[in-house]
Amino acid sequence: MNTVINQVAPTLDIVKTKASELLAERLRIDVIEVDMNKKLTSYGLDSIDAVTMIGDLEDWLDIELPSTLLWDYDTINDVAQFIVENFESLVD
Amino acid sequence: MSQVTDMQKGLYYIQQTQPSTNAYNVAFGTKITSTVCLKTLEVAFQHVQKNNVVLRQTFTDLKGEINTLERPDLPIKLQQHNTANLGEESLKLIVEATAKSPFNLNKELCLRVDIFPTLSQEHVMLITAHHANFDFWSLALLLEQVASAYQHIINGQEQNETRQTPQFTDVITQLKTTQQTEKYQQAKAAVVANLTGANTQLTLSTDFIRPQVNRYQGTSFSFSIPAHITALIKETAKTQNVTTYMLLLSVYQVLLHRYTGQNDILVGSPTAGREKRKFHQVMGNFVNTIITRSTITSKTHFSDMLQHTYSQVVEAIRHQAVMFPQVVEAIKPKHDKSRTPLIQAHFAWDKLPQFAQFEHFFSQTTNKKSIDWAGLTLEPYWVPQQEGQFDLALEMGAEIDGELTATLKYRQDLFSADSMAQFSDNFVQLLNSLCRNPTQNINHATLLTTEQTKQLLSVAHSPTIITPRAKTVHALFERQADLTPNKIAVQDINTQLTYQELDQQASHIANVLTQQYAVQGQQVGICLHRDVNMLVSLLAILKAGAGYVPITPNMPIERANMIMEDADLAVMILGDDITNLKPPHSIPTTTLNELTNCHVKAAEHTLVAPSQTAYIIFTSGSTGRPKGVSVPHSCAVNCIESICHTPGINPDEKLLAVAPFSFDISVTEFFLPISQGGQVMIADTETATDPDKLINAIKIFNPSLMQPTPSTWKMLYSAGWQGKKDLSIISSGEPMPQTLAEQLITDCAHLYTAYGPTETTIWCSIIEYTGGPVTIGYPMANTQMYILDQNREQVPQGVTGEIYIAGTCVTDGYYGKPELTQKAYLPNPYGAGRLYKSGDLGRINRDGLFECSGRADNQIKIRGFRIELDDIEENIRRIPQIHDTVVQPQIINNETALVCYYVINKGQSIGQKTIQSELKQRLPNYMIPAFFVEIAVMPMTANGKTDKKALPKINLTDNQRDIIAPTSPLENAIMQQWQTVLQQTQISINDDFYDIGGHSLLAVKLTSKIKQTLNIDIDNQFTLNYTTVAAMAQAIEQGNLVADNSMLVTLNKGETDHTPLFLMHPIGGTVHCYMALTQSINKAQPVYAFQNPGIDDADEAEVGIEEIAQKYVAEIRQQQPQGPYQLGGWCFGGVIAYEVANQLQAMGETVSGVYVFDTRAPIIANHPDDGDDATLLSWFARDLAIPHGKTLHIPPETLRKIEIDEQFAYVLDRARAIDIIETDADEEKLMNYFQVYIANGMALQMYPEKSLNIPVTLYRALDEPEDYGTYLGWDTLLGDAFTVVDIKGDHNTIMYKPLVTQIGNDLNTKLDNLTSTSHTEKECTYE
Repeated sequence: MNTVINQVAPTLDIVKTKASELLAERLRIDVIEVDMNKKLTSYGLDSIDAVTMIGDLEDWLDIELPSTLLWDYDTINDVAQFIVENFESLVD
Repeated sequence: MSQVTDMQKGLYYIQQTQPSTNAYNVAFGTKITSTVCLKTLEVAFQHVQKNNVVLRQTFTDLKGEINTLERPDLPIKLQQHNTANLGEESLKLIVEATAKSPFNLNKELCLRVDIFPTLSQEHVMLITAHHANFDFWSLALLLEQVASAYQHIINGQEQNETRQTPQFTDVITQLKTTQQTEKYQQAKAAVVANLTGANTQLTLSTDFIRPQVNRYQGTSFSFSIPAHITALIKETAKTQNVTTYMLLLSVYQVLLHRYTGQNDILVGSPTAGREKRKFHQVMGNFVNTIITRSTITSKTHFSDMLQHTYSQVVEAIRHQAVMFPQVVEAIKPKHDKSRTPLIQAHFAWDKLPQFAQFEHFFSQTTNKKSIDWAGLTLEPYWVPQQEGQFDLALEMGAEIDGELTATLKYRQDLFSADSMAQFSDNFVQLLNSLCRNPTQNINHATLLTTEQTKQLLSVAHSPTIITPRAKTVHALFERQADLTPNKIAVQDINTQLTYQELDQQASHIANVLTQQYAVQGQQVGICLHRDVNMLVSLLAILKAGAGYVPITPNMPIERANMIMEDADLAVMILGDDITNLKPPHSIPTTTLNELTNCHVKAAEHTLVAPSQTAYIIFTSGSTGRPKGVSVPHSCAVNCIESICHTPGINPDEKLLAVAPFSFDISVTEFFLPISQGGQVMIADTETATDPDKLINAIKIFNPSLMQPTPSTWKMLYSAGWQGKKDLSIISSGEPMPQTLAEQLITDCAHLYTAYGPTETTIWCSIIEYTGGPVTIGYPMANTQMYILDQNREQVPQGVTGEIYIAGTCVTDGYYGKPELTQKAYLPNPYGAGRLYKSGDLGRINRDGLFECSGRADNQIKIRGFRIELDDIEENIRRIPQIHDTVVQPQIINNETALVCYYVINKGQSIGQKTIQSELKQRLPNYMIPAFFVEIAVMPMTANGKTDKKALPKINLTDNQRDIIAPTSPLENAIMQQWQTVLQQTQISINDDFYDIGGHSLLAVKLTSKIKQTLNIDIDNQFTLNYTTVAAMAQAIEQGNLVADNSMLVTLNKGETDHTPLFLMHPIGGTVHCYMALTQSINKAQPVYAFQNPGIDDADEAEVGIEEIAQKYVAEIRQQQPQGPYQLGGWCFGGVIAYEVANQLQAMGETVSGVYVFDTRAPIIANHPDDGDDATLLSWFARDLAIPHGKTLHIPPETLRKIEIDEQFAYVLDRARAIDIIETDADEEKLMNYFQVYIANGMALQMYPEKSLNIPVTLYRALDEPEDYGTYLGWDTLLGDAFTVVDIKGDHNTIMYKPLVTQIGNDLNTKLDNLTSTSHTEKECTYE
């Protein structure tokens, strides 16, 4: 797992790309198929998948994320935007 | 010592109060098919144990504070079982039993590892953990860490002893800090707000009567969802933008809604509770329960519900840190020992990623795919786990071959496997239906399978179609009168009439009515006393083509006036001695005398059509005005003919009629026998209502058939009625209690239980009762019955709904009230005619029989009378001083009684007596409340409705709800502990602990406090069984504590310079019978009593007087090492005392006195002739009742007729019926009692006759017959070397107050006054 050094906020694009990869991995689909503006549930994302995905994002960025992240922000775009905008307060 | 979380405390409490439960056993089973080094495996486990604190802890309960305790002395051991020779099935049984074996959390670690060698030289490994300190996630960690350790050892690698941080104990410390934060408190407030006002009792219809205490015992039912529906579910979740979990949870809630009719459904779900990453590697119990609430209306569409569930789930996840026990504490649901708090339904979507490779290990499938673990080959070996946590728990998550698998865990004391199979079928059916059309209304989505619908309709429709022998009620009689003109048709105490006489007299009056009052097609009112003329008049009215409207002479005038006004009477017939009733001037009035003596010319029979009204019976109406049900001849004829068909009545039937003629069961009483050649005997009102007179009337008239309500039978029994072997009974009008039904079938010929509202003509279902739970049977001829929910959809079998009735029995409706009629008489979607909405709750049970379980609305039944509470309330509100009122039924002394709560107008006052006498003018007696409670304001619910649940419950001894202070030092001591634990002072000794803020955790505390301050040994069950201060004090006084395994009970400590008296238990084994005696003996005298050890532990019971005595001698010598000894015993206890004396003497000790209280000498001649189990059980039943001052006589012959293994349950039911044992009495305990009883009974019969030199004093009960000789056989045994003291009273009363003082006084003169004299010396002085 790559760790972001010095806890500097990542760029929006990096987070979007990573989140798309994680989603594709969880759902066993090609990352090309991920639409950043499509509701996560419409992919068949399950609650357990959500917990795992959040955990993976936490590990990647070494931050703490709210457990309802993927329900409060339900597209890849919104999720990424939340993380970037609130990065500092998310650092544990 | 470390602190624990609230969740842990809760689980600990459950395990301590229900020590036999395995509901919180987490289990993992596997078959290791490769070779394994068990020693290494054990070392690996011990290594992991070193790294995880929760694997080294036990629990402790110190003064109510629960903690964990590190136990370095308890290494994890691989428990090896001797199973290498067992077949697969036997092995499975042993493994499952081990997995279900309960934990002792104070003594054991929360983890057990068991190894079972198999026949094929493989090993089954079972890991069982208790959830109190472990969770499913921990199991994954454990498997991972043990595998790693095992491999390290096998590979000869170094083991790191690095203790992982944090440990669970650290987590708990952090949690406690977190819980103080504002963020946490806000989250808690949000959870509580979401649940405020929620319905916390899920009322699923159960297959078995819900036991009063939940024992947390469950089992599992597994099923899977077909692949095409699984695919459909996933697709629907995507299109509806919810997760699969949310969709399944929603459908589960819909199913619970459809099964219960409840709209507000709470479902609990587990959450891993490991939000923070740093907790992911920690073993411990992190699991929390989150709750989702669905609020359903009649218009809820599935897609809307999904969105609601979405937000409920997201909010629950957001607040998942809020500990469930804290939510329970904040919501304070009504304490209900029979249910888990707040939620009784659970839904788990367990799909731990760590378990991906083990997924199929946790489903009961045939998939035996092996996996590699630590270089070993593991195969799934499924074991049940965590069963009985909730009424119903659905677990899903795994998917095998495209099918979602599911396990329904359910309480086996509530549901049968059949019900669960049905439930799962309905779940799949609903999933299919809702996913196919997500926009549909959930209330109408298809729930039943085609197979289920077919089955339900086959039960609903009576297979019996009959064609009546005549078309009108009177024609049925006339037909019979032609056949048997000279038989007696009707009689009363003075008169009897033959069929011909009855016919002629009725025809004459019919002619007068026709010619003088032109009553054809109209109504005729009638008010008479009960004698043969009643039947003459009713027949006459029918013959004249009119419908009769009965008014009983004791009906309140106002009510009678309303009926007369509303019924459009053509004429009112009054009995000759009826003077108080004054019909309005507009109604022509005549008397029976006038009608009888009026001369009219004979006329042709009036032609009466079957559709014409036969009678109008008025019942309580919700507006304060009674409503009249208009019943046509066709309906009444159908009922009579149906009964003639099944069960059938014979031509010589003699029926004793007791029902008031305003009650529709009088119709069959009058017209059923005379349609068949039988005879009606009319009891007058006084006879029908006075038990002694009725018993006498039954003797005189010798009826073969009667049909009063269950209340009447109860009344007869309590007046000493013994039954009548040739009497058949049809019982209806109110629910028949099972115990009464059982008694009636023992004492009478046949019992038929029938059901039917007046609106569907007397009865519409019937069955002969032969034992077991009481049902109302199946529909009568030409009748259909359905069980529908609030949305008029059929409910599944076993589920309670409302009873709807169709067929020939459905009457015309409410006379002159088309709107009311329209509301209850609906179009029939299942066939011709109308469908009557009964307002009664009922269901079709597993045997396909209908059951009725009370009212769906505000209507109740008292003594068989239908009462609208609104009717009473309306009449009370008419009293000027009353501002508002609510009338509620309440069970008081096992009877339903009406309680009136009222608020008076400001500045006015009115007494209870005045209200009562006002009401007597307006309402019949049975509608007048028995209790009146003045309240300041009516409690209101949030919706602005009267909050009936908030009304104070009537307490007979505490009507004013005063605080009753402790009445004894013991009560005072207990009260102080209550006040400390509950932190309140205003507590009454009769307040229920759980009603005034007590809950399970506080109960643990209370138990410890009481234990400590009173220095007695009680366990946590104590606070469940005794829930008031008074009850606790009483229990302690009576020694109803928990077994302390000591058989020697100290009844009075006395002073040490006195020689103790040792009393031996009687045949029942307990020593409560010596309490009164002890109190009447000198306070300085130490008194001990032996309780049979079998009372606490059935295995401890000895069968043999010598063996019993041997045990007690050892105990006595511990207490008093040297003689002289003083012994005594009541009844059988005297025999033990005799043998104890024998053994003591044989040891060279002296015995200064053996005091036997009405004990038969142990001689062969005194042995019972037939001392079999039934005889002993009969005695046992008798002795059970004695301390309560009641009698329970069950002859051994009666018992021998019952299956041996049901005899005991039968005795208990009979005992419950007369209230000598609690309904929730511990049957196992009672069984112990009985086993002791039997063992003692047997012991007595085997004890050889021994003539010994023992100083016996016989206290002889003078009121006993001398069946066993003047000296009860002691002269045979001892010659004249014994003393006799005569005591007034019988065998039992001599041991209780006040008579026991005779024995006490005499003992005071004998005991301990010869402290130093030996036996021989004493004898010498006498000589």
